[in-house]
Amino acid sequence: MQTREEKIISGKGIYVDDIVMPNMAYCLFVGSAYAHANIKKIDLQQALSLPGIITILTGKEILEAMNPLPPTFGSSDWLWRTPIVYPLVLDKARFYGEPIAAVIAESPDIASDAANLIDIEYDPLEPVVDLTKAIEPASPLLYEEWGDNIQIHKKVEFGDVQRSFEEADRILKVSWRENRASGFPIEARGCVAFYDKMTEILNVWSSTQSPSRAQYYLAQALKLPMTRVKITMADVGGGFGNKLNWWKETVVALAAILIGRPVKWVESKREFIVTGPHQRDVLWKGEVAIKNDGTILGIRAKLLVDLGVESTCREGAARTLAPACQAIPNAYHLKGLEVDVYGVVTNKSFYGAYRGFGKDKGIKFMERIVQMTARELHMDPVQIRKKNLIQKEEFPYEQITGYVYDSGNYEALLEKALELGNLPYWEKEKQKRREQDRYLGVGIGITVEPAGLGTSTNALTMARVRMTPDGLIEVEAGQPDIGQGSTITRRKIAADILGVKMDHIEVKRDNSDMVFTAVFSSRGAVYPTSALAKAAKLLRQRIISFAADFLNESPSNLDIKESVVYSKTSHKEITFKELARKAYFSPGPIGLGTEKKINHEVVLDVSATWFSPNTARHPKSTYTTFCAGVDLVVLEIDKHTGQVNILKYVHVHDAGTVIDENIVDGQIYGGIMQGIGEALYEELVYNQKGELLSNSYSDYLIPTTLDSPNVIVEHLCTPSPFTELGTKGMGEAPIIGSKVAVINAIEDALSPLGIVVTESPATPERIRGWILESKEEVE
Amino acid sequence: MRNFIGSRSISKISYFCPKSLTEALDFLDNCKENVKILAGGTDVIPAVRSGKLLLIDNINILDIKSIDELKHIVFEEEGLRIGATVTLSEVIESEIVKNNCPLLKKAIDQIGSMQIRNWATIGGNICNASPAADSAVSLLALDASLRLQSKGKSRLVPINEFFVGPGKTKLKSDELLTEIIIPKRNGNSTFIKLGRRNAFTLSLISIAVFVQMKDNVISDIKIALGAVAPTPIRAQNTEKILIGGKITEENLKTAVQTIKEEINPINDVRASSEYRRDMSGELLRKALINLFGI
Repeated sequence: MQTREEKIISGKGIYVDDIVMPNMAYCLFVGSAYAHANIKKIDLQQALSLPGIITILTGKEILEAMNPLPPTFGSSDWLWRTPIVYPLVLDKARFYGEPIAAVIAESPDIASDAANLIDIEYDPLEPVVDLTKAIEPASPLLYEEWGDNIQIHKKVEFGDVQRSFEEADRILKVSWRENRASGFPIEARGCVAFYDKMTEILNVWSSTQSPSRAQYYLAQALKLPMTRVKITMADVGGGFGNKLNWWKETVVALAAILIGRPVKWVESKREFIVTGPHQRDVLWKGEVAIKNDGTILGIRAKLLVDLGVESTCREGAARTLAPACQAIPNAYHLKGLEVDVYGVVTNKSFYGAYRGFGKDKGIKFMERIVQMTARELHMDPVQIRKKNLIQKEEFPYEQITGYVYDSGNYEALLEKALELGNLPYWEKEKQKRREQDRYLGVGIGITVEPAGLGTSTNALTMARVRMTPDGLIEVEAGQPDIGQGSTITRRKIAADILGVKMDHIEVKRDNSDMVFTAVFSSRGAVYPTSALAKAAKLLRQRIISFAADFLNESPSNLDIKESVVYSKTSHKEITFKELARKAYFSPGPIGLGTEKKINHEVVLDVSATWFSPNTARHPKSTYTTFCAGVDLVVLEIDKHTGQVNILKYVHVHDAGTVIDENIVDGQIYGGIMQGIGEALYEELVYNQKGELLSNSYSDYLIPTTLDSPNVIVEHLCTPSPFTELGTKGMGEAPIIGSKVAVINAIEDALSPLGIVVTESPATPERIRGWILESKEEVE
Repeated sequence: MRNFIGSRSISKISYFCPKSLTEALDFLDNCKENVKILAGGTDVIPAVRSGKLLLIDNINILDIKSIDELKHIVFEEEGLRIGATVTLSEVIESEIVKNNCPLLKKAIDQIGSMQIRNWATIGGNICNASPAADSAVSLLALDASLRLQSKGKSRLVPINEFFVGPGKTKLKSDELLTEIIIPKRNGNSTFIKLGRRNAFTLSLISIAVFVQMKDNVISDIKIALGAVAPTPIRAQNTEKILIGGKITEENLKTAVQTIKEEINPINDVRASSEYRRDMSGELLRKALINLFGI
């Protein structure tokens, strides 16, 4: 049988857009022409008169049939404002492209023609597009009832900040801005919704990352019991955290119920960019307490984050601001930390959970601080890192922010990266090329990635492993495959533990019937993997005990290899196929030992749940594992044009026990490319009117394979004591370290000109601008 | 203001795909207005999908990619002649182009991705009249002419006079670009494109230079730039400074200064006018250093 991977690679995947149902209708959204405007009138007459139009939904119909979108997270100790949000505008549009009407038609073409005939009368308002101006008292307001544009706020404090500043030899001022960017999977969002009158179940096939969350949101919004909503994942072409949101889909499902027909919606790439989740867009201003020997003592910072229109209802990414603060200490000892953090609303698309989920922000800020500290003290950034690194004897290490780091050897990672990077050669090259007027730089980024979040639904997981009556194994563990390869890893875990051939294992496609299934927070190798390993171990025990009864052998004499249970001392053996026949049919349960029957253990079907022992013992350690990576990049800058050319790239990684090296390497390569993209090219640019200018892939530039450096990857391994197999979540470290390593390398290259890099992406134009503004004569 | 519609659809269109040039010219003669000519479709289709080109008003699509008479690449007395629907990949792979017009190959090699080059045509790249069209920039430096044909008539227009503004050309509504003619000339050339990433990117600015030497002085030089004006342009003031002399540190500086003064680039999401102006000078400097090895 073809594996899932073979099917996908040979182009035979069935994505949402490939689903065709009889009598299917099509949905197309019409969005606001203005970033900020009251809607005065919607004229649908002309559009409705077009042949082939079934219906058009607007805020009016939505208000009658739906609840507001349910907020994901709340917080009692933060200022935490939750607006009332419906998936279509009721009265005021708050970002360019915000859906106002949903056209349902017999074909996508008719829907498109009708969409162009909808006449909306606007009363434009002054848009809020600048993060810093948005919090000024004179700024126009998105939500008048709030009185300002701050959605969430808290001042967090960890350790002893005051003392760290008292002990300092000097105070370093830092500023760091990451402009708006996001992750763009090759497949945009989409769904097909169909209300089945026979079962009275609303069925939705979706490109979601979490059928469980989708089920909850949809049921809440449509006022249905969850048991009446079933979400099935189609094959999914990537997610990166940006397919957790669930809002336009509620309108598609409502339409399916109202018209009694299947309805399909698949958005265009442009729609994904304009009305999709956005990320980053942070401004840090900070003071760092340092000693002259390179010790970093403490940090005081103010963090502003541009959440766009909101991020509690369409998506719960306002929450990302907590790990943004908690992840700051990264791989280092730090005595005190204080962050005054504001989540600000503006007239831009909503804030999402793109790869990094906030922890990226703090880590990059810290790695910029390390670089700037080195510069301030005229020291090598490597020396600053070594001075402050947590040592291998200190694990488990309780960080001042409450995270308990499981295991690691950061210094060994750094040493390995330096060795592979061959820095003495590049230092010589740097001097040589300087004489030829060329700017070469070396940059490093260390990342300690918090993974496997123990709060909210993230921590709910359950795995089920069973032997089916044909002697094969079926695995169910809440870790949907969205292209990251979780089918392979789940199959491999079960195969290794059970002693079964890989092709004897079927991994069940994820759907909302499972306890909780989702891809996020790099939880795969933490929660679902641990639950699966636990369940597989239980099933193994049970298989052996069944075989012991059928073979009349002691369980301790039995082992399993290649789907055969065999005796280590005699020639007795039984295949899984035969075992299943006996267990299910003949003799069936009656043939098992008495004790098993009395204990009701007569089924080859087990399930297990799992919760992080780390988070259980240390509730402030909301994350379970802390993988680490070191990125080292060597690059050259053309001072005449500002173009960057990456000459060498090294990534050394410790994800604890590695289940499948290919899968881990895939995460590494992909993450590095996304980080390079963010460092050099990717930017969501809004104009003063609040229109998104970089609204296609010709202007939102994602790196291509031709921009990809040859990445040297090396793995070290310190197993996690907190997970079932010693594995650590690792999906996000590579996107974090790569970005900041590239930025640090650019700054290093430009250091002869006294340039401090304060902003990303470092586009050729920005770099050229810094060079022209620099003190030194460059002509 | 237009509402935002993220449609992927193409409305009902009337579509005509003739097999011969005569049929195509007859069609243009009959329709006159409301015709959109399509060859590779790499500009027209995205424009339709993004709403930049709305097809709701019964536009007639004339698809010319099946016309065999527009697919030639020949080198003869009058020069290199390339049919309008020759794809960019065919131009790059052509031995005739490689041997007789390396500048064109070099410029076209940097357009789009391989998938796009397999569909996009040289005629389409010119008629789309993007200020940033890399093929047009090299053809300007090569002093190419364009054959425009209508029913029973044919005229040659120097490419230098063809562009009127962004998306606008001197092509009349009954005319079709049938071939590009590049005169036979000996000389050295270079093409440099500055994009925002290494590959598959639109030009922020591009420069093509074609130079002829006689007795160690520049007897003729043609400098063309893309994405610095409403159309691809020649930098004729800069050319004048360099003709009749040698390249020295001094006149290189003057040339760089002149080119920055004679262009008028726009601000957009891809680059500011200041950066484009600055880069026109830097790219000219690089181009002249490439050619003269100073």
